[in-house]
Amino acid sequence: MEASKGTSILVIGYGNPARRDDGVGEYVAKRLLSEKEYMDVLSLQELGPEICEDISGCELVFFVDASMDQDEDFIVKEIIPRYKTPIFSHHISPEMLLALTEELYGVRPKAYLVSIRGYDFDFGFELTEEAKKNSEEAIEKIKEICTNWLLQRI
Amino acid sequence: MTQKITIQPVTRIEGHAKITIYVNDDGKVDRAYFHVDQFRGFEKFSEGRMYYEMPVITPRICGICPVSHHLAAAKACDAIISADIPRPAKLLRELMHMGQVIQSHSMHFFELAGPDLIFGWDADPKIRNVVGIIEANPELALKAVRLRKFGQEIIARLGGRRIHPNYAVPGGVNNTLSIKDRDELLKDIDTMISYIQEGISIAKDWIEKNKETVNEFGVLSTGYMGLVTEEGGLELYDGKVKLIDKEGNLLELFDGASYLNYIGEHVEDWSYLKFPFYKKLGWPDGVYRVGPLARLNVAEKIDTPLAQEEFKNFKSINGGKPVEGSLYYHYARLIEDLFAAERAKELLLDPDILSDDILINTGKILPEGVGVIEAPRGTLIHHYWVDDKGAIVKANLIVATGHNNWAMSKGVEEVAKRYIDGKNLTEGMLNRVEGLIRCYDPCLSCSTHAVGKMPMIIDIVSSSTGEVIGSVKRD
Repeated sequence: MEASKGTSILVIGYGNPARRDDGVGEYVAKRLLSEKEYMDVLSLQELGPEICEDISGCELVFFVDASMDQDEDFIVKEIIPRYKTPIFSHHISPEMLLALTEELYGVRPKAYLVSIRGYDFDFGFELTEEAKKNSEEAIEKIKEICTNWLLQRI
Repeated sequence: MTQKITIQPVTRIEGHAKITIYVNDDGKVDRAYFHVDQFRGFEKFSEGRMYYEMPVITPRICGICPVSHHLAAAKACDAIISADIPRPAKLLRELMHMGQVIQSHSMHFFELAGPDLIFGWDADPKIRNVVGIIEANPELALKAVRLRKFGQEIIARLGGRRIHPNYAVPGGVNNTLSIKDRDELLKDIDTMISYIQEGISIAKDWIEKNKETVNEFGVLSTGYMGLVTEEGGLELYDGKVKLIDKEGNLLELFDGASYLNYIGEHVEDWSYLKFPFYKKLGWPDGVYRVGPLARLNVAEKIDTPLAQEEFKNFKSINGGKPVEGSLYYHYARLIEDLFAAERAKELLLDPDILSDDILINTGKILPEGVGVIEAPRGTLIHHYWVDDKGAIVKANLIVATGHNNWAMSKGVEEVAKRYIDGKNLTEGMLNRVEGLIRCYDPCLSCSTHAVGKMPMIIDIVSSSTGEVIGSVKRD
């Protein structure tokens, strides 16, 4: 799923849809495709440095990921660039991506991390009903933030 | 009394692993282990699926080399339907594979191994990372990102997605390449070749300045395995499997479909990851390595001009015998990167690449099929057994990181014994141990066939009491 050029909002859903609720990022990305007139959407298994270029063309970015470690159905928090050596070789955190984007392209978009609670990370392509519900709520929140952000620009 | 050091996680590698180092009362290392903690479950998950789903399902094993799984699965499916796919389809699949190799190898060198090479083992961890590279050389960092992006772009223009393409199908591929897409890729390829050459210069310069370290760090006598062309050249997509011994003598040259006749898998109770070995020499005499170093050791030439020039230099390192030092993996990886970019250009210039003769149907379903490909990290084998309707009854996946399991474990021990002082542990010592593993660029998501959620630790343990006396955790 590719980001197309020309809009200022980018939603990046990431995770592995073959591990059930780890696929909430892709679920959200697919659902938001219908909003594409005012946002770009990317669905990835994990974040890599090449996404910096996509991010550099945007003013507002959402990173949507599954979480195993929270009680809330979903959490939306603003994030800022932060250098952190990745634990695993080819995986980079959203904060690190923002830092790389700022360093390489001189751009610092407003960014949010959307953590959606998952319940089952075993093999399988189906989201649990709870994760699907949490994702739908997170989608509404993303749309609300986008609407407010667009209104401020008028 | 011996103590134990465990490194967990090994930073900048895929998935989950742990290093345990046993040290005695004098602070000397007795022995060391590289463990993989997570159990793999993807084969079981595949059972009951239809064979033609495998090229779509198996890329989900890994976010790093999904194209390799995608193509190995498609090749196994070709075998199941007994299809000799049309030449244009082979070219297109190979082109996609070159994109995968370019993005993976470039990423590894510039952003993962690069910090060690550019700043040194003992540099402050705060700068010994990709950020340090950006600050020291922003232009180089930008080139690395562009290289990675270019590799992904090849994949995207063929498969429509950068990470998980749905392109190769049993019997061929499902989409042609347009003239516009071909020309767009050709437009940038010479620039990418020049970027890789710059990386090679950095690697060679580093090797020259650190010859002593390179020649004593993780030097292992093993066999080597990799695909070769009919004429014995470097091959990443197809060809026969060549196995040589530590002296470079030919042991076997076989069709990948018969791998079970040659490769056995040893099990140790301290790791979920099995240890493949060459059956005729038995365990552990039959251990071998795969990946860039192994492929250049088994190859007699490279069929693209710039990579061939570098290959000659590589072969001169040990007078034509196999190059054994683990740090040479970094140099070999870049030579392959150069080959992949040159080969991509050749493929794009081949008139057949635009053909619409891309798919063949046979109507057959054979009981099993094997697909073998050289993934960036080494030989990848997919083997499926199916029922008469084509549902998977059993699957066996042997991944590159598995083949290199013994070498990583032995290499960790060798490096730990050489550099670790249990009584005066420093960041630099531990980084050398991690650096050994980074030579192999392991993908533990692949080898465990599971999503990477668990970290890795270095534990320091007393040999005599088993007590953990120190622990280093990366997060």
